[in-house]
Amino acid sequence: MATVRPYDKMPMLNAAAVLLIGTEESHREQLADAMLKEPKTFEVKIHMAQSLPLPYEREHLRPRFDMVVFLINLHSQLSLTTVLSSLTHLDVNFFLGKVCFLATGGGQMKHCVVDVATVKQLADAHLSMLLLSEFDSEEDVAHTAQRLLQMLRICAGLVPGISALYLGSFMNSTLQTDQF
Amino acid sequence: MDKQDELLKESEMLARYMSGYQHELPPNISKISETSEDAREELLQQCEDIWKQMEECQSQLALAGTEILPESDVQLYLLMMQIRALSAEHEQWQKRTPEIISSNQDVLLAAGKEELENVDREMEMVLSSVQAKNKKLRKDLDKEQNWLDDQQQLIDALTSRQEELKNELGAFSEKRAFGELKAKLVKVNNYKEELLTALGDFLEDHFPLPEESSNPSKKKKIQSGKNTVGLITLHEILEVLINKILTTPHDPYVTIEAHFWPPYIEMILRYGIAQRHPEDPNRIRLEAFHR
Repeated sequence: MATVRPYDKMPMLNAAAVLLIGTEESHREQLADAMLKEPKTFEVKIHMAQSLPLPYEREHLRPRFDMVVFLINLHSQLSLTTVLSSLTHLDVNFFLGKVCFLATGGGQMKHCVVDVATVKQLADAHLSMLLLSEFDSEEDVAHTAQRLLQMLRICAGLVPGISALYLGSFMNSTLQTDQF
Repeated sequence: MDKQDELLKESEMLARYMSGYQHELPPNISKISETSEDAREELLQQCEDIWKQMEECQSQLALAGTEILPESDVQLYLLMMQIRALSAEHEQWQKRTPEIISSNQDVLLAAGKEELENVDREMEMVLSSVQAKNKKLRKDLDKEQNWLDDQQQLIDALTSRQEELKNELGAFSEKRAFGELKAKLVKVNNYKEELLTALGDFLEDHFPLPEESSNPSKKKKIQSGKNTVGLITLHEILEVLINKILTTPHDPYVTIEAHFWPPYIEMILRYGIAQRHPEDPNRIRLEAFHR
């Protein structure tokens, strides 16, 4: 049971690998399809899992992951708890910009079990980006896939001059003013 | 045929323009036909060196071991880590100096050509978009100019009309209008008098009162007995009818009385000068010629 580490293997040439973690299989599949359909200049390998830690047996077949995306379905409490438990199996160095949270289902307020504010706090605490999306229409999924691909390019180092660390500067200040 | 002529003229103009600046167009950037083997070898060697460096770094990192998130104060821990990482990267950036990618001429030439091609493509896009914008602006300008001209014409027409009206207004004086009206009234009255006298004369000549035959017979008394009703002339009948319809237009009917001579009544009825009342045969009215 190894934790996923960001720098334990050599990278692939002109390619990037992303790990999708979430309980909703349909969402994972949709997102993966959309990401593969997008036009891009580099190869993308997508791995999916229900939760961390990943089973040890296939450790040698896995590439070096450039980004980890946690999918949280706001309609189910289970997905949130799974993600919370998976966070402890991730190496700390990932949180310097290679982790992204994706919350789905925020549009239908009456079915939301998990509060968006909770997820936002979670993302802020881990200095990671939070994306909100609905997986209702093809357009939404394609749009989210585009954003993830952009982030993936940066995390894999394929954009000269920008490293994953700088993604932290795209977020609001995480300190509240009344803390002073 | 006109359209074809126009097309021909336009294409002639285009050809003239093109020949004009043909010498200014840059020659197409030729693709690199041969690359020397040395250049390739050098680049590959550089890549191999960088890869080896990466492997060294990576093996060092692998020795570092894994860390997982602490239980509490996750954000603080991560922020401290972020500070350390950012300052380390900052140091690295400071240390670096810009350097040429390789000292080999072929490599530089190839890289330069690629850059030039990109710039050329972008410039062409900029040129076409600026030209399109210019065209649109010119069209808008023409439209606005036309609108302005129309409005100006409108203003001119309106101001001239306004001046005309002002003049007319100034020339108006009350007294003159009053005098004109008076004269009109007098004229109309005179005309009316003329018409009435002419009518009276005409009626007298052609429709006199029926006189008893100058037949002095014993029936004279009876006849005069008949005539004691006192027939009135056609003129007078018409007068009665006219007055009735003009004074009381809502009730223009006149009852036929004994002193209307029946043949005259019959005549004016037959010629459409008068009408019977639809329900009462004893009442007649004048035809409304003035409506």
